[in-house]
Amino acid sequence: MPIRLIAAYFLMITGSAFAIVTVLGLLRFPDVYTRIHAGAVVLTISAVLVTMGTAIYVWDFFLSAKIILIGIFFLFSNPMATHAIARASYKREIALPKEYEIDAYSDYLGRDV
Amino acid sequence: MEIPTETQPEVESLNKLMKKTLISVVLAGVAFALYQNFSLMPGYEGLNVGLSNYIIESGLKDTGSLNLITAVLYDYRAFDSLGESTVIFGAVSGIVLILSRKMLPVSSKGLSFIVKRTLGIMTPFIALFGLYVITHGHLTPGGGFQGGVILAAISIIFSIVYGSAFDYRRYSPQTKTALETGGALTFLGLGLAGIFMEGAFLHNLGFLTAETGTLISAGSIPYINIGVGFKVGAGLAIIFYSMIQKTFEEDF
Amino acid sequence: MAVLEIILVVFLVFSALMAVRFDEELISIIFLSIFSLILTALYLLHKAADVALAEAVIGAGLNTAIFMSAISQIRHGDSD
Repeated sequence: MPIRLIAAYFLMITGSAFAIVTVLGLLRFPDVYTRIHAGAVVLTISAVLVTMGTAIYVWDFFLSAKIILIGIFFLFSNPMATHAIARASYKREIALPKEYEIDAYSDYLGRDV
Repeated sequence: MEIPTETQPEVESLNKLMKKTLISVVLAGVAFALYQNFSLMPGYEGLNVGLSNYIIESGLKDTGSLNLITAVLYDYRAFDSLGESTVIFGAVSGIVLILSRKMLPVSSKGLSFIVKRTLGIMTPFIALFGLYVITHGHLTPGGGFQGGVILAAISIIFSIVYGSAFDYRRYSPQTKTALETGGALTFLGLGLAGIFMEGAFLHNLGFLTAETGTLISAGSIPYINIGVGFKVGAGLAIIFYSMIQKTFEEDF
Repeated sequence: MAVLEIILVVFLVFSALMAVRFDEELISIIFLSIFSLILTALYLLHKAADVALAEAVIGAGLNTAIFMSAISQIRHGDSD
């Protein structure tokens, strides 16, 4: 087996492990914001790792470039969507942020808006 | 005056029975008509004989389109595609007639600064992908319909993320109506050109064919793709735009 | 290949049942979106790229947005 395939499989397996960690976090965390945290951080790196592994696996210039473009799209879009969801759930007071002792975002909103 | 209390439920139940009988008769009639229609269809003859084999063998030679599905949709069965476009036009007209109340919608401030900046970077690429899917419909998977829906997604993004007033300023309903009508007229004009040049409605225009695999080949199929794409995109954008007029007022 | 197809079909039926079963409209819409996504994967597995593209764009993208705006209008009440 050439070393390129080994690197590709390593990246894909690492990405899949991060995806499993994401599912565990979604199931085990207590409320909305921590679940969103799991979905944002770990799922982004998982998708990027899997796309990088696929780009190494096919190893053709144009195909790899397209797949890496898809990975960059993930890198932009997933944190942005997560940010939008978290902000909307904060504004709608879905998970009662007053329960926490530290609520820095309300101070930020008081300064900004 | 005495009210006949006994007969009232009987009339009700009789009415219900009549209604049920009528519905059953209509359903049985529809089922019979569908069965007759099915029995008229030619039977399945296997992959290597019959109509599908004909299209697989001589579709490229007849139409010059590498994507055989686009060849069927916009050359062999182009009349059906014209009917589908008319159905979308009817749906758009109905929804606009029912739902649109005023010209200027209630504006919203849109989402936060981060989302606006990020989508400002990504939206040109979405538009480029939509145009690619439309114009390469005869070479790669895709076509007018799919690319048109991708273009309509841009209008949805504008309405949700930047507020509906931004969408109104960029692509006003007049512009969308002009685009939709232009697309439909392109389709019909190509059909009429087929009558005058080749002798049949929506016949593939032979003098437009070029070397197979290039961007402008396959006769009139790319132009029909472009027309259908703009028509579908503008129509679905009009549907979404007339549905959000009173919603998304809060700033999330 | 066959194992993947069986798993996808099972999840397809499951998501369709869930979409019918819940009373909350939002959950039904999310399950319909998941249904379209699994159907896209099945179409790609059977090498029907055109239909897969149409299903992904319309089912998972456009339908969700239009349904969301519709239920948002319902919940805002019938003010004029």
